[in-house]
Amino acid sequence: MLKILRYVDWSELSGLLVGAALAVVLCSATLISVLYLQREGIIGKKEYTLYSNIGSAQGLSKGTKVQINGVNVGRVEDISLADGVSISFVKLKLAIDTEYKNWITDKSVLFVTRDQNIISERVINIDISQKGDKVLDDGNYLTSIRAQDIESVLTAATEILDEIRVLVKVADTLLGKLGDTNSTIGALLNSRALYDNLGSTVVEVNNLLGDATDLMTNVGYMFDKMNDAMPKAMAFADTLSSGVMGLMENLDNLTGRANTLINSLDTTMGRVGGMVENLNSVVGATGNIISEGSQVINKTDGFVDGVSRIWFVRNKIPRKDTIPLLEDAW
Amino acid sequence: MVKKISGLLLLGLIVVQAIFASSGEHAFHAKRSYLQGRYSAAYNQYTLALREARKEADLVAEGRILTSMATLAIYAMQYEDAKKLLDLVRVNSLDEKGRENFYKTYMEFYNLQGKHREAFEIARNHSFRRASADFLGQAAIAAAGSGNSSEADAFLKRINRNESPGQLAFYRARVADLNGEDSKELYQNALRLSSEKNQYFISGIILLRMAELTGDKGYAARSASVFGELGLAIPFEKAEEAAK
Repeated sequence: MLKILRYVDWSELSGLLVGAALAVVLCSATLISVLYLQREGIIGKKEYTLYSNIGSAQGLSKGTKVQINGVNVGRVEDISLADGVSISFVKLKLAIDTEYKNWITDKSVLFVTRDQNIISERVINIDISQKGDKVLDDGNYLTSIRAQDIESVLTAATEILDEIRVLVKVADTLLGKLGDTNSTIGALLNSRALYDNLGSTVVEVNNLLGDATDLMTNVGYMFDKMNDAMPKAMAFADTLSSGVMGLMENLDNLTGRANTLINSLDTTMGRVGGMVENLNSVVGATGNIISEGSQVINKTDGFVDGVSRIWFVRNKIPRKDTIPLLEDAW
Repeated sequence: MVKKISGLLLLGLIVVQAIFASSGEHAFHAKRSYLQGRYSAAYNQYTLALREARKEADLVAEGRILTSMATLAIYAMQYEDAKKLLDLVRVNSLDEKGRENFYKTYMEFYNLQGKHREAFEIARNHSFRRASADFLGQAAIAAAGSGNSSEADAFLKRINRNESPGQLAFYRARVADLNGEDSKELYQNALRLSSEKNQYFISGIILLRMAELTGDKGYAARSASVFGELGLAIPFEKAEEAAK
């Protein structure tokens, strides 16, 4: 309800206002810092965990980068020897950014590589080229394959050389057996029956070629028939092209008419342009009238102001009547 | 989206308008609240108007605003507050209409407290050629209350019956009442007109007086309703007391 007027002495509140301003500045600075750290991924980064068993963790350590096609998606959080696995394995615990979760599926495979050159640090790469059915969740295991760096290549090359050596040995044994008529394969290669069968096969091929000659004769006959019928077909095509030519002429006439229509449209647009120009000049004239009206109003205002200063008029009007009185006639 | 932006712009404009309004604009809104019967809101808006008027160093505006605030305080029967506000008015700096309104309010201040002699003193010392119906009416009440019935009639005759039929009816009833005459019908007529013209406070006062004159508690209850809705605590309590 109606109360006595109260006044606020702002000078008494200056300390409070300075404190409030400082608090606002501090809050803003903190907010900006938090947003920056969040953007840089130092705080507030959402991660989930995946595991993988690999043969060897040589060159890997806590914090080793995990990449997908060269993009950093996480890091190695822990390395330990795997329990309950028959062969000696190393268990990797990977912390992966949640934003890349949907890329890593049950068909994705993990391998160790070097991301820059043959002597750079080892990193873990996840191959996602195979699209899987299920996205790996927190705590799932990722399949690993052999490392793909120079050590692995050299190891693989050595293994291949060993295998080639075995293969050469086997081939040498096989050639020895081919030359020996006492063995099964040698007896087969030196047999008369094999060559007789080959002769009969050549005779059958000769017969097949005779049939092909007959076929070619029939094809020649078919071409003769076509030679007779073709002039009729060409005459029909000629008639058809004449019709098309007539149609094209009509189309040409139509285009001419369309051109005339466009020309007349152009003329109309020119006239509309003229109308708009006229309207513009009318608007300009109206603007001048308004401007002059404004000047007249200003002059009238000055005149009324002057009249109101005349002493006998001045006493008749209130000095300022911007505050309406509560009382009204009713 | 466009609606949201338009809404925000409108809100911004309202806030800017409320912050940067002049005394006249605040006073305009205050009078509108008063006419709607929102006396508390009107008083608060006059408070803002007063600050602006002081900033503008406009003594006429300041005097008019203080007088209006005093009127509201008188209606609320907070006479001490009303006196303080009236004492703040620099009467000599007011324009003629403002001065007349100031003295009318002062007479009303005394009349409502039954101090008719003090009010009549003002009426005798200050006269205005084209005085308002309210000024003449308060002067008539003061005259009648202080035993000068002929002068009261003279004041009433000066009220323009065509322009202010409701005010004339009300002041006639009050004068008749103070003269000891039968005023029930006059009050009835005044109530009809005040009700038609939405003169809430006058309606409340008439109903309260009719309750006292007739002993009909229904009038007092109606009066309490009027004052209650106007948010006037002391008049409301008074009417409630009469309704018991």
